[in-house]
Amino acid sequence: MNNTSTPNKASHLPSLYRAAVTAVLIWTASIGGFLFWDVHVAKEHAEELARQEVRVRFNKDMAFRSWVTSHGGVYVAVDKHTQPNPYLDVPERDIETLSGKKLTLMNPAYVMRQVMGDFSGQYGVPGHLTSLKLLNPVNAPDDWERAALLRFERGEREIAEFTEIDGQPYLRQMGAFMVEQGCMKCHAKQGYKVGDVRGGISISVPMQPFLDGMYADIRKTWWPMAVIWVLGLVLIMTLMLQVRRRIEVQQASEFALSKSSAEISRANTDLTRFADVAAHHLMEPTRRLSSYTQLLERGLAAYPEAIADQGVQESLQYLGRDAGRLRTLVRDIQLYLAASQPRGEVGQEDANLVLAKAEQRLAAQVQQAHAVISAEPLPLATIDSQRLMDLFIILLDNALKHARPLNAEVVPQIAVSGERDGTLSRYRVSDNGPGIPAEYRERVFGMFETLQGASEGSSGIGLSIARRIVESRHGRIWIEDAAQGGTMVVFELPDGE
Amino acid sequence: MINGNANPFDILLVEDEPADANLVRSALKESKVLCNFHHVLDGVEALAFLHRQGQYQDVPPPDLILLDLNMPRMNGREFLAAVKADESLASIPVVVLTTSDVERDVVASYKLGAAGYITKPVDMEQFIDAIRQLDNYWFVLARLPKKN
Repeated sequence: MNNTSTPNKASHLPSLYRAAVTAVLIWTASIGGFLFWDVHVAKEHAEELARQEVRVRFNKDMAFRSWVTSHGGVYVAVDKHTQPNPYLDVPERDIETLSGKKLTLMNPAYVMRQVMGDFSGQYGVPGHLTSLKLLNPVNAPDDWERAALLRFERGEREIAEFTEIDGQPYLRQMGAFMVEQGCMKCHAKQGYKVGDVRGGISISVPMQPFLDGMYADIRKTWWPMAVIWVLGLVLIMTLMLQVRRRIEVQQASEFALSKSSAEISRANTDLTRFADVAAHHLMEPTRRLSSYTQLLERGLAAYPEAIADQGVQESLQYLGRDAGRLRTLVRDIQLYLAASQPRGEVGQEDANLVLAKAEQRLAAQVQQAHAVISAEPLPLATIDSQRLMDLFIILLDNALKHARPLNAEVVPQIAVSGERDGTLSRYRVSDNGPGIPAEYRERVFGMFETLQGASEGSSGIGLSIARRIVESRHGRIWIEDAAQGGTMVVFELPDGE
Repeated sequence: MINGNANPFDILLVEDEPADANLVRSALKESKVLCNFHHVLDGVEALAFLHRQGQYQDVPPPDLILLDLNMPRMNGREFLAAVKADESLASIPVVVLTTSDVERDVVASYKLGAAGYITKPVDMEQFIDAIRQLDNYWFVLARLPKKN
């Protein structure tokens, strides 16, 4: 593993900042939306209040005017303020009571003008009775009223509008009043018929007090909302800072972890490399030790009396044996070190072919042991063929060496079988030898563990190598009882990398 | 293995380890190969030998070079590349003789133009046999380019 890539320190932070900015925007938009809605409601409310007030006054004025009209005008006492209406041209406009009190007929427009004019202080809101066809020019409509009156001619009967008078906001409402029988007394000469639009009464309510109320309402909500908004922002910032701290801590620990795992992997690589180089360098003198021992033996052949000396003979034997053992050890260490790395391409290997090659390589030993190897069809194995061959050679070699049947007359039989199981291939190499007691079955996978003491060509590392190969492919290897009474080594090689 | 030629063959061993050089010499003697045995310690010296420089003014050009791969100064691969790049030397067969049996080394050696590759056997009997076979192949069976 060369897992030395430095972790990307800023990997999570930009997305956190994006999330925080998004949260702030959504929060601000929510508060803004609420305020907008609040203003809208307050405005609606203020307008509704104004409308109600206008309606109340308008209805009162209409009622009052209707009352005057229904009586065809009313007679009142003439005084300084209430003079006979010069525009009213009807018979019996001015009458006298029997006691000589002078009365004059007030037409609806006159009544309304006087009430609205004289008592506007109590009325609060000035109303206005007007028409497009005037008898008294004082009652002339203003621009807005004229426009409304024109709309009445086209069929509308009531118009309410928020507008301005002299730059001030007003709600104005105007209702049409129709020509009734009572009107014809005076207005027939103007060409009216009953049912015509005679004119309108307009009411104008100044909006300023309502708007002031509205602004006061809004101000009441603005402050708390501003505070809530700021609190929300603080909450978002706090959360963001906390998450950022967590991310930083996590990244720091990830970095430390990847650094330490990189260090471990480097240390492991260094150690393996060291062992490899050491074994390689040990091999040279070991080889020479063997060669020179043999050279010495050959040289001594010319001196039979020296060979005859027991000490020399024995020394040479021990020298030769130990040189051989040393060689085997160093070779096995090299094999063990190499066992975790594939030799050649890892692929789907035909285990039947590989097993046949392994048998070929071991032909001499098989013959020597008078053993019989039988093999069932084997499933494909995901591994490099070189190491699959090593596996079969190690297991067959072990069986040939250590699994001689107790009864010398029985033929040593080695059976190889295998099967697919889900996503792995399982293989079994079993013999009819004495078997391995259960308590030693795990131990024999340890390095340099043998159950029979050191023997030539066997350092006890074979099963360690086999396990290293299998485990480097994420598989398992273990020992079971064989059906024929001996040892059965089972190993599994999963598919995939 | 006596060749009829009046001039015995010249073998140049390039090997830094005296014990191994001695083994080759012993094996040549044991296998009764009739040859002139020359031994140099590394690639730099071997090139001087081939170019007859310095102390090697009067040496004959070798018929066969036995080359160890792992040596100080100029290692076997560098030496092999230098020999094969030199037109006057390229025709001399070079047999690599080493402890290393790593596949990569074998392939690299052949790519560089080695005529053969022999893993040093640990068994003396086998080693003598290997040397005998080497001699048999190069000096009896195969035709070597004429020396100039």
